[in-house]
Amino acid sequence: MTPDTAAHTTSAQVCIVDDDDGVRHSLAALLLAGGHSAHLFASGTEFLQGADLAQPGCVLLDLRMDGMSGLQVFEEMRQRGSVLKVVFLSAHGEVASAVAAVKQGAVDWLEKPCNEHTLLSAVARATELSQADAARARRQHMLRERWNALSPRQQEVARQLATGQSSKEVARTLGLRDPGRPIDPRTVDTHRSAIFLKLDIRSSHELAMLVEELGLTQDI
Amino acid sequence: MLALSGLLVWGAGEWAAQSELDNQWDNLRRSSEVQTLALRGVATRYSFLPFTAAQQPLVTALLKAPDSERDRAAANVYLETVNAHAGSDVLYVMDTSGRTVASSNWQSPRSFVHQNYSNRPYFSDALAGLAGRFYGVGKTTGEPGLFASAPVRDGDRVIGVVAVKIDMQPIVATWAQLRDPVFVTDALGIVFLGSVSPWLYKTTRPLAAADVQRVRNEEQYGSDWSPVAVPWTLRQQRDEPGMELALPAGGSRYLALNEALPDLGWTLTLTADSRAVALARQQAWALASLASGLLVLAALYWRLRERHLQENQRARIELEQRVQERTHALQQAQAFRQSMEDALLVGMRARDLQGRIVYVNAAMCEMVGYRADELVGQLPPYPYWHPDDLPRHWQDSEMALAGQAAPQGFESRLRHRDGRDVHTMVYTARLIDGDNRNIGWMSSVVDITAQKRAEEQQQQREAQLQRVQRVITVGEMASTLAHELNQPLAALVNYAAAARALAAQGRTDLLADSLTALSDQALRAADIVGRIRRWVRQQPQSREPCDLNVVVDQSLALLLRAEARRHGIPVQLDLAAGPLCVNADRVLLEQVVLNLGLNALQAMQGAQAAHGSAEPESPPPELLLRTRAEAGHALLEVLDRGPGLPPEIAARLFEPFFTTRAEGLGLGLNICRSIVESMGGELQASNREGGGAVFVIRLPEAPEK
Repeated sequence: MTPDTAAHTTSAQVCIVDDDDGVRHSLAALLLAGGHSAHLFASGTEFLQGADLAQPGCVLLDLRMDGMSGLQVFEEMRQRGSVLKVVFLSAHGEVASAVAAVKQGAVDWLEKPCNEHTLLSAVARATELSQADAARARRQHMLRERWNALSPRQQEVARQLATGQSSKEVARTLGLRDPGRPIDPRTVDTHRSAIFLKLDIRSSHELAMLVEELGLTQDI
Repeated sequence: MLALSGLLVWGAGEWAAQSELDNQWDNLRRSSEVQTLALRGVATRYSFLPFTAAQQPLVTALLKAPDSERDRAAANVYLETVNAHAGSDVLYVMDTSGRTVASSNWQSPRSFVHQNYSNRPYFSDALAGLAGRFYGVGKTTGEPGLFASAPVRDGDRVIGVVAVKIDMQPIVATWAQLRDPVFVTDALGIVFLGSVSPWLYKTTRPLAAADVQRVRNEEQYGSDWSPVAVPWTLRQQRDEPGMELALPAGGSRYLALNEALPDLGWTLTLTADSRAVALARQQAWALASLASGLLVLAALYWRLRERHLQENQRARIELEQRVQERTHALQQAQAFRQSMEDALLVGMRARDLQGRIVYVNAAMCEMVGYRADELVGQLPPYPYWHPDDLPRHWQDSEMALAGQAAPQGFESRLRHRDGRDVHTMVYTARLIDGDNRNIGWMSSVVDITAQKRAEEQQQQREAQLQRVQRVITVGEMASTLAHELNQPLAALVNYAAAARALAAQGRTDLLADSLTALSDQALRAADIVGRIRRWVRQQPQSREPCDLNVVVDQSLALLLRAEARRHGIPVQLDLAAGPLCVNADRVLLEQVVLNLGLNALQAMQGAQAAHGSAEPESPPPELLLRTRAEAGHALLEVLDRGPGLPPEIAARLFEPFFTTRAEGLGLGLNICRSIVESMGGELQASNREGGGAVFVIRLPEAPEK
């Protein structure tokens, strides 16, 4: 999508968060043999503090740890909008937790001890997904910046236009919503030109897709 | 008795009196014979003298010629000479008219010459040709005397009378020597001679008037004599040879014996004081009284002695009886004591101050398999001391002999002769003699082998139960255990895979590292399994000092931390700065901590399940393990933030088979409490401030190892 995607692919990181030294180091050894260099963290806190959550990659996250549990770390990562994809490591009998984690957006879960191929493929897939997400995120970021460049009136107008209304219809809708500030359909047209220019789009359809992509539909 | 002795005394008195009386009479009779003879001798000694002088021609001549001075002078000289030779008083010659013509005392102023004695019977008798005899008071001299006379014949014719006066005083003087009165009475009964002069010339019986006249005429007893009765009375004694002479007015009484001198017309009376008789009687009485008194005393003494003897006898019998009773009682007591001692299950052993055994009872012998004679006299070491416990036996023995044996007794393991072990409790007390001196030590030895065995069995059962509970605990943490094992296994698998890949890539340096790490993980897995296995199988050990902080660490290491992790509950530690030592079996203590920790985790999980995600106002769940010292005790506390202990649960918390969990056996806390109590501590539960429960293990603090 964007020119720097490939570069991001190569710089994908692999993190291992497990409070068990043996498990952590053995995973690192395995990944190293598979060509991955891994960042090792002995606890969730350590990871959240030390890892670059913005850099795409894969996190092998132990579900059961002292201090923050895997799920807590996962939740924190989501909160922070990390692009890292999470593969949970679970022990036998922790299926329920793992399933719940996957539902919340984890890429996968692996039951320890796991097959090396399963592990490596899970890591690869997560990395890919992370990189894709990272690209999407970057685009969204760009779009958000463009959106934020609009004036508030322009954003209002833009949201109405994204629903596919004509300029007249937009003017009426806005006038009804805020009778103190009536707007002329021609003014709407003027705003439309400015919006299309600022957002680098050609059509109302594109505007609709952008608004949806930014998650602004609910605000209409 | 008294009557008899009285009779005896009286009889003795009478007998003595009679005997004395007879004696007195005999004396009197003998004395009477002597005195009669003497009297008759004196009275008749000179009777020949007048007759002889009458034959003298000088006398005849004088009478024939009474006026011849020459004849008179010759006659006087003759008479004087004869009288002097004969020893008579006066010898004199009277003519037929009664006039004295010559006298032996012709030269004395009281000369008889020319005196006329014609009124005297001795003159008239001689004049009548008879030999005259007369006792009377001298007319001239006034002195009494015995007059004897003879006629002077000239042929058939009486021409004169010769008379001699004999002085009777010498014989009276001899009588005066006698103790008792002697006197002589004349034919009229007039006392004329005697040793008692006041009685003289008194009459012993009434006189006829003619007689009185005659006596007066004859001037026998002086010119002025008149009859006066003697002051005493004579009484003829019945059955006695004599009479009794009694002086008037309670005077003396005499025995009196009369001896008649018929030729003289006199009666000689001798007396003897009858006091001698009375005295004899009294003496006899006294003697008899004394004797009978003695007799009575003797009798009394005899009776007393008899009684005494009887009493002695009785006392002896009684004593014997009592001795017998006492002996019997003693035997009974001895038998009782013996049977009690024999029946005693408690062994008794007395030792002197040196530790020499002086006594053992049957139970003691039974307990150790040695006979009493084999044990008595032994000094430590005793044959029943257990060879494995010798130092301890020595120590106990020395403590006991030093008086420092614990009053609550001490345990002692003995070795029976047949080789089996005997477990005993020994209690030692002072042995005190009658003077309150400590002479040794008495020990009671109680066989507690059965008890010990039961205890051991109980301990074994408890240990089994504890082990079962440990197994259950491990079972409850099976998933945690699985996870704990899973970790090294996962690591192992990873290393193996890595090694394979590295081997394929030919990266041997990394391969070696991986293989080393791999074997480490394999060992780690084995170590976990081994640790759990050992912990579960652990036999109870003897107590040893262990640090509660270490116990907490070990418990956490043994699955508790992993279990908390599984529950997603943080473990907080608040440990004492230094070691906190108690005497305990470490494994059991870990079991308790593990159980309590597990309970806490489960409680918090339940609470989380019940309340959903943690409410904002309630404190976050945590498992807090705290150790601290408090007043000589070491405390290990397990605190949670679960629902705490409602009263209905708190009351039954430690009951066996009480559980709030569906899958629980309900033995955990019960076993925990018994474990802690077996270590001399206590386990208590309460609610934690701010929510949750607190379990406190409180153990006596022990010195550091």
